[in-house]
Amino acid sequence: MDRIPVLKLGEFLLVTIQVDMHDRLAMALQDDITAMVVRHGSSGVLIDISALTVVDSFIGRMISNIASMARILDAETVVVGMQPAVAITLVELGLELPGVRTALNVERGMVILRKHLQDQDSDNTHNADVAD
Amino acid sequence: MENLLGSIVSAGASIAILDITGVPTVDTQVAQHLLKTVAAARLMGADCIISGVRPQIAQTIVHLGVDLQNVTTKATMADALKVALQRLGYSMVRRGA
Repeated sequence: MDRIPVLKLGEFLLVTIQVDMHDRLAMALQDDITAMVVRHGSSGVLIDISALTVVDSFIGRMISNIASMARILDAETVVVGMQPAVAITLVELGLELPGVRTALNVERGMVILRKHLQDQDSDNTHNADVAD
Repeated sequence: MENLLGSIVSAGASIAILDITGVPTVDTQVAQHLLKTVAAARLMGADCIISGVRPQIAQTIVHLGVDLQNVTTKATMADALKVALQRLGYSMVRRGA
């Protein structure tokens, strides 16, 4: 069965969806991402869906689920490159992906993740200072 | 909605200002559509700022029971522009004294 590649990119994972997703592929992707986040201790997941032209409620919920799972595993998820038609479809389906960060392209998504990582680091050092 | 989303992509915009000063009244359907547009823009990675909401429209939105907690609303277009520039890291100063 074909799979969607999950690439490790330093602290983050990059997932580029370049084919139209079917349900089983989405399930496999969910398994792969959660496994990779744990294995590499990634702090962010970047999902590029710029080539995704068709979504249904299942795929929409899948994206939302992946983000929730990643957050539990201490990784921030950013969904980037959503097509206008896809955005409209998701909103009409009532799937507004609350809690999922979004960006226009991979570059901006990366900026968001880096900023998040920096904020986290400064929080940690601040807390350590307070503990001292 | 399609127009705005298309423009966000072509302009690479990270903030969209929806100024509805010229809209005297909205019915529930229009209000709902407006909020759908805001949600769709967010999904594409652009934040929306709504400006120029008239009292009547504010009432309609609240009567609709729509949650606007996560959407920035500003009184005027100028205020919205100010917030947008601020978020992008720009600041406006008057030249000279």
